[in-house]
Amino acid sequence: MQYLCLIYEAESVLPSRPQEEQEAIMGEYFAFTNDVKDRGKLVAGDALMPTETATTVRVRDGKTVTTDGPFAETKEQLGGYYLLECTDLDEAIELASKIPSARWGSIEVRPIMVFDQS
Amino acid sequence: MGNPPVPGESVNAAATDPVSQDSVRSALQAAYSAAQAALVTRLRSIDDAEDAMQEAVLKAWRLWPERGIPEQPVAWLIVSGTNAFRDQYRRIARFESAADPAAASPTADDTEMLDAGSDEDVLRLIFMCCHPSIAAENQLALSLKMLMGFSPEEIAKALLISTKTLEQRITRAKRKIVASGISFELPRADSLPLRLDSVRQTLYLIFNEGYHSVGEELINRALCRQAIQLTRALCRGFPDPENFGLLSLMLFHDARANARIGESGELITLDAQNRMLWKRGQIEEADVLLQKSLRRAQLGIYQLQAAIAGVHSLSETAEQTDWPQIVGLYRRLFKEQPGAVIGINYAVALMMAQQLVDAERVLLAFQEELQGYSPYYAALAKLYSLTDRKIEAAAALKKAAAMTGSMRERRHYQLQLAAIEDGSRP
Repeated sequence: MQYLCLIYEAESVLPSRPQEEQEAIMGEYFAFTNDVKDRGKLVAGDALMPTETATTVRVRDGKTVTTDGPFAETKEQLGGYYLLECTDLDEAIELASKIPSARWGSIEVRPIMVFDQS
Repeated sequence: MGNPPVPGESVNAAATDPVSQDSVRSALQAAYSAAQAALVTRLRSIDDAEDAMQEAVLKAWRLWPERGIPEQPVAWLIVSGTNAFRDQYRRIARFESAADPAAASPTADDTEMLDAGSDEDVLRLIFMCCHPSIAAENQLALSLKMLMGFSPEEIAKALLISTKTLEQRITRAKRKIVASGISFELPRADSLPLRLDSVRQTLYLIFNEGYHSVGEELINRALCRQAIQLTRALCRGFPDPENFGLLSLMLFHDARANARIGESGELITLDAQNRMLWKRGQIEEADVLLQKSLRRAQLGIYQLQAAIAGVHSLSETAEQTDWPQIVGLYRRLFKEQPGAVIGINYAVALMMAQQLVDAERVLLAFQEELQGYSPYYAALAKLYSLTDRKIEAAAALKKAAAMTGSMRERRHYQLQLAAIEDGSRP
């Protein structure tokens, strides 16, 4: 069985910590990734870009409606995910609007974070 | 009744590792705007909130280096500031017994405090500091003081003004707030476009101050970081395409910061930068934000500037830069903002795209206005060099060198001049 672990946190917390602490936490993340990788447990994992980059896609009456930000209704629950390789945001939104649940729920489109090599 | 406990204080009391000055400083700066804004909300007075914040910051400097940075720095500062205000009020109340302390002293409910430090408080404070009725330079001074957590000395140094001038500007801004009855509320829909313009302008000024100033590197980096942090909050609260454009613009520029300064502190121009030093991840984020804003089809000056920065940032080498596209973007930007600075950049882009006749037309339109402005003569010299008018080019370079206030630039122009004069010998 595969399990999806979703990470929730207040976005403002980490950037408000001292640099050393942020680096230490990044180190913990690398260690965790390596650990699950070594044990053959890792299928995939990514960080997401901040919520300012999010677009929420809904299809209502056959029309695609987009809103800025991660605005799922509180009565909506997470039901699944797709990881799509797209040339740009327009294509990602276009594809998201074709996901059936977009017609009655909402699809949050968030780009995957790209890390710099340092 | 004693003061309520400060969150995190007891938890970290056992911490033994001393915390570095830089860590305390960066944690304070990161928490500053949220804590200050929450204090203004609670105390309903800028001056009281400012004093309370100052007390809280002093207390943090006393305690954090030894005890460690609390789990919730923002909440810690809000509670400490509120307590300090209350103690102060009690001292005054002893002399003026007519006042009712219960009416004015804020309630310091702990759990409520932990939720404080919201985007909304910060946005209210930004909108207040950047009210269009306050003169732009005074907006900038007040914003740096209330939102950034720098001392007056540091701000004055960054703005290249005296501490006294800075304090005058802050006083003027505050007086205006009282005199015009500027409220500590988010703007209504009808005034929102104008208010947002003013906020963006000041946030961009803060960013540019950090990006272009010659001041202390540590402060400059912090200014950029803070401007980005506040613009993020602005985007979350008001998803206007120009807000995303501004955030994108800042992120594109900031991503190149590491490559901009050479080993001996010299400025490295875009075409000579080592692009491996650019922060790729941040450029990607800036690009997504720009795409997001462009989808709204309400193009504005920040989106256009972000688009220009984006063409540079997404080009693998300087030679591969898509100059015709940059020219097109500058043409639109120049139409929106027909000022000299944009004009010169537009002309240089035209030269890079080999559109020399147009470049000359744009530049010469500023002939009268820009007498005495060295970048104008530098651009003119570039044009004359490209069109093989060596004598005119040399004359323009001499003017540019004579007019610049920067030693670094003067040396740069003199080297170019020497190259021209060498090349023109038979």
